[in-house]
Amino acid sequence: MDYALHLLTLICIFAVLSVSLDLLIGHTGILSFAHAAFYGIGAYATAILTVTYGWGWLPAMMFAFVLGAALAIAIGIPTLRLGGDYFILALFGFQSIVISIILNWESLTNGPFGIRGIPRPSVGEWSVPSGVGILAFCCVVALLVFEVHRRFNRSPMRAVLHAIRDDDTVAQSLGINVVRTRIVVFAIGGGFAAIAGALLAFYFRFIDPTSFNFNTMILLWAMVFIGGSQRLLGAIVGPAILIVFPELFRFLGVNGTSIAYVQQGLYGLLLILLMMFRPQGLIGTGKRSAG
Amino acid sequence: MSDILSVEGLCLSFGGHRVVDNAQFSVETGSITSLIGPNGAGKTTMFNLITGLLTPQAGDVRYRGETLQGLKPFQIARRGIGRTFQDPRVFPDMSVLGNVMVGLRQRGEGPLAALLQRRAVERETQDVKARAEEALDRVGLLDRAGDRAADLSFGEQRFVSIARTLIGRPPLIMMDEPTVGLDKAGLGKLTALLNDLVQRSGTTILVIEHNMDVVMSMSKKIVLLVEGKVMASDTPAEIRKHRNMVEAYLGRRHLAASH
Repeated sequence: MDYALHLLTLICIFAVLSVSLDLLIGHTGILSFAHAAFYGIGAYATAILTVTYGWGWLPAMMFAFVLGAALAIAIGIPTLRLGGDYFILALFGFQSIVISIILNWESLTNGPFGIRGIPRPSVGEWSVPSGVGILAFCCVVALLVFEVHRRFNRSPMRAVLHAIRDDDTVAQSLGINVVRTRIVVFAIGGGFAAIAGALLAFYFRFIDPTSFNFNTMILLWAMVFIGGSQRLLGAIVGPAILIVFPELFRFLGVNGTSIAYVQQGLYGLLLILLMMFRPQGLIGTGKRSAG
Repeated sequence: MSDILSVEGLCLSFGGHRVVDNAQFSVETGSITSLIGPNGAGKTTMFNLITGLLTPQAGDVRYRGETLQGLKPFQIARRGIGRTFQDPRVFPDMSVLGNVMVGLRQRGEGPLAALLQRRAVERETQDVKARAEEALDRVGLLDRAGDRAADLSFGEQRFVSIARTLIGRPPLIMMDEPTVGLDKAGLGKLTALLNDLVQRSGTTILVIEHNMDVVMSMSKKIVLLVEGKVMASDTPAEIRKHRNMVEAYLGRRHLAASH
């Protein structure tokens, strides 16, 4: 039972990441290779503020969102004006810098050893318990993020984002402020990724840099591509498949280290099969990016 | 009538090659002006300079007496200059109606309004939808409103792109070769639409066009651009008198077509 709750909690956290990354890739055509960095920024901001500075969980989580969004704006202003290839390289650079800071600013982040003892969210004396309690907490936060995503999707904002994704020159000629819109969406995506980081910190009560590296970034991309873009269900199905499937190998007697390799192979195989037979992903509807 | 747009001494070079060379002309309010010239004359570049997609190295563009210098393309569009491109460039996965609706800016496209002002946004969206249907009706595509834009023919997509511009009711519409890909019926529909826009709505049209029949029959003024230079800027009757020039730059076929 605990094991199933663990998987469901992870799916919930990764669904938040998947929704936010899909807002960038699927809806706006922003090929973000720094999503894992914003995820890490949120996790570390939450951990440092609660453990080192004694902040409450809610202000720490809100600060994580604001910090993720603010850093996305700071990196987005100079890079989102660049062409697609340069933008991708710039975000790779940002991802490397963030991991480097986490690893080397030991007085703040405790370097490769990570931060332990992150308190669970609490109200007065009552803390959110393990198992169903923390799963429910993660679900409530995820539902809030999904509701924001749903409202965007039902507003004229969706068409504007798709116009920018499909042809930004035409979008400009229709009076759309393309650069500002991209920066705003990038900030929302960065903020949501940071929220997912906060959830991870609250769930495991321990974080270290390995959760936010390039492998995680590839995992996030695979989740969006496999689940399919532009539909909320796709953002849940992608993480569910990539989290649950490799775990099935445990029951076949494959040890933990080998599962990581199985997971990597599975992403590759699933991606190849999907690109061949269903390029829009299992649930997705439309195109993914302007390319 | 006063001039809605004036191009004053525009210059642009790419790698030492002058693409637009001290170009100067004006567009009279409520009329159709055609920009003609051989391939590579700099016509589309001129459109890109006027709409802010390119920045001139010298000269100025004035719209309703005010300079457009330093403005971004979206700001120029919001001032009231609509534009279509050589290809229709519709948003392929959107519906025809969706394509046209995206041509009008609205409050609900901002994230805060989308989150917090749902009722107001819904009301506004209904108004925009009505405007889009009106624009589609004007180009004769109302019955295709629900279709996916990519499923329309090239000619129909051309009219979708025009409707997408019309919804904003811009005082000046710039069209880059709008007759390309249109059959005879489509051509008739387009010229009727352009004349209607000018006569009924007071819209000004600046059009890049190779079809001399269309150019000579509907233009109040023709601007001949050759190698980035404005060689002539006059009425069709006067342009016809520059027989040698038109023949040399556009070919005998165009002259023949104009008679």
